[in-house]
Amino acid sequence: MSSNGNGRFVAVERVTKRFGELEVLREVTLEVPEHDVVCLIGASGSGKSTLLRCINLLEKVDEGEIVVDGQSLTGAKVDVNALRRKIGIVFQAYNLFPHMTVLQNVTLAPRKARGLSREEAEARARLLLRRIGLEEKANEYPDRLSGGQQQRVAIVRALAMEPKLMLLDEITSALDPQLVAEVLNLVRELASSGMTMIIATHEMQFAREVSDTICFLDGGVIREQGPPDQIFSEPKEPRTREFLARVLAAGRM
Amino acid sequence: MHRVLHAFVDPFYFRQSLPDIWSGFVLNVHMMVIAEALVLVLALLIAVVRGLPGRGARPLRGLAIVYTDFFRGTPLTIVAFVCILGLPGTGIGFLKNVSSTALGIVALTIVYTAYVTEVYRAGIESVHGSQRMAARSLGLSYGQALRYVVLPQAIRRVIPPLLNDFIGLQKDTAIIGAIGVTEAAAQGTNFANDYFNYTGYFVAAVFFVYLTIPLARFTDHIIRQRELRERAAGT
Amino acid sequence: MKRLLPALAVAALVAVPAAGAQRQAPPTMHPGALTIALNPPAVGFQVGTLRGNDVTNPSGFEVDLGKDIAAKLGIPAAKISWINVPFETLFRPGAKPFDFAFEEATITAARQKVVDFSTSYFDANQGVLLSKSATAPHSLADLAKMSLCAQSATTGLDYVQHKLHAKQVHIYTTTAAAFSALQVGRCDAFVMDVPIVASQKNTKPSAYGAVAGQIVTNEQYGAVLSKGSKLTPLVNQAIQALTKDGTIAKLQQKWFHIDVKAIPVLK
Repeated sequence: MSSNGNGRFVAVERVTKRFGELEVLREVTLEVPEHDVVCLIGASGSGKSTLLRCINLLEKVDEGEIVVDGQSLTGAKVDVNALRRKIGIVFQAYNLFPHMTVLQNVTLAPRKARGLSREEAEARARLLLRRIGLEEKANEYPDRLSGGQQQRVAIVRALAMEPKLMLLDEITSALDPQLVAEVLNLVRELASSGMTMIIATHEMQFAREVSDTICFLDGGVIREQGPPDQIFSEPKEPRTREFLARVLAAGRM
Repeated sequence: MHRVLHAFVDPFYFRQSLPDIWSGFVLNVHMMVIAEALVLVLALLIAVVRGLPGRGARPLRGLAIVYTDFFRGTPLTIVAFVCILGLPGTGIGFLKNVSSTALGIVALTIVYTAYVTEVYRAGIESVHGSQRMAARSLGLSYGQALRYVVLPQAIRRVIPPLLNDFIGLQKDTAIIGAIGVTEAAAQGTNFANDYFNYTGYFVAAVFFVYLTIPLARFTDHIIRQRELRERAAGT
Repeated sequence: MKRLLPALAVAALVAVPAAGAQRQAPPTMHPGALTIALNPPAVGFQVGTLRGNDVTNPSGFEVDLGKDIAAKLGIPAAKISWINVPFETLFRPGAKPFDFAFEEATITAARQKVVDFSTSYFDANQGVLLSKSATAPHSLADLAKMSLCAQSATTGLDYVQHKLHAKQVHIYTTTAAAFSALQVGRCDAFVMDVPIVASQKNTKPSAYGAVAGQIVTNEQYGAVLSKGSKLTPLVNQAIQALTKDGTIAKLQQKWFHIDVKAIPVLK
């Protein structure tokens, strides 16, 4: 899981983001070495999703800098599409394309954005689908799949672009409890294969297992950052302790 | 009452007027088919222009807005007169050889493109933003996301109002009859002026209805198909 | 006896005008007033401004004729309402919203089944007006091959469709539209009553080609009234009187400056 970081793969420096008057992110600073997994924890509205969306340029930052794989996201003249091909993101609501089959969902971007031929894209897609045991669903439409299956297809759809960084935004929060495990297993596999990931999640046990660093966000600010053992066993900040106590009480740990 | 019925639905005049009304109706079909095809394509173009992001596209968006506002607000009759009697009078050489029927198609296309643009736009806006967001996140460009993800969904959603507008277009081809194109309704008028009987109009109406029924059933079929297939899970 | 005579004289003085007044009130829609339908513009015959359903400031041959007939009926010009009634609707069955209509309407047997016509007040043939770019026809056979404009519900349209059997006919619902169509070259020739096309050519000579000729159809114009109107015999009387005393001939000279005899006849 953790490895000798090959330098900073993702560097977020003093990023501030406002929606009108409201400061959703304030002076957020974060470093993610390559192959590392960072989990963002915190209450809803604490800025986890916004931070992820800033990293793949779905949102523009108001102040600060973000650098991914040596490329600045916040400077002028950013090739947004090229950057997004390197960064995969999976959302809480899966967002599969309902008018396309599973196979078409997975091959669309490799064919149109990467220029792969149809045969090549389909071959790769089938491989990925086989890995998650959903190859026989290749010609089904998303509405025939369970939530867990759809989310795993969404992950595979992002992986088909061979990204160097994966951003996962609370990908199990909308799932029935019994479907959560299959998705988390897939993420564990990804982590052990060395994928650099930033994961926003409510699944504390999972976060503890899989991450190299935990970031606790509270009100748009990183209150505490550190290795999972430290954060979960000996949190330094009072807000962190409050949060973890609530989570424990809710039985999610 | 009996007399009213005979003035509008007389079997003898029905047969008498049939050949002329039919020859007129062929013109209606000609106009509607060509206009519909043009409208489908042009309106999609303008709807896409209307949605282009960024400062640079502002004049284009403005033009699209002016166009749709103006031609949705102007009666087809006026546009038709301008096209059929006005345009050839401008002295632009080749227009002299363009038939009134073709100019009628131009008028129908101009007006109905404005309506259908708004239909497409509503469809595009009804596709949840998360779809475009997901497509862009995969590295697809604005145009690719539009073409492969947003538009296919948008168009499927607006098939009923689209077909509704086309039924309107089909009937409105009759308006061109006042300006030198002797389509079915004008033939009905001609018949009425010669025979003092209005059954010709009834025959024309039958032809029109006969054409719109398959279209209405086709719409129902498409809606049913879509409902069966695309109950998308998750937003 | 002395007192009776003045009384009788007074009675006589009162009775005569009273009886005369009763005799003179014609059976119009609104007693004491007259509603005349027009459909301008037709150069020479009638022009006027359309305001809603009314024609204000009407003038022309048919307008003067209407006023003269009103005078014969005992109705002053100030009591005439001039309304606009589209030509197409004249011969539709049903009650008319006017007492009589002057719209250069040709008397035909078919039309007489649904409306009353007055005695004729004008004779006319069909005329052929060319567009600027058309070649002149030398015969009716030539004419039949040209693309023609005509107005809906007119005898001109009836002629080109059913007697000439022209192949290309463009039908317009108003005279103005047909003249516009001719002007922009939608057709090569417009077939319509000679006085109308000739007068229009005089008014706008550069908009059209020549008056190519006339077609002998021996049409007669009559005023249009509701079928079985009680006014018909009175109007007929008036027109006959005006013909006999030369008024109509004088009006024709006043309003029309065309020499119909000079227009060649197409055969």
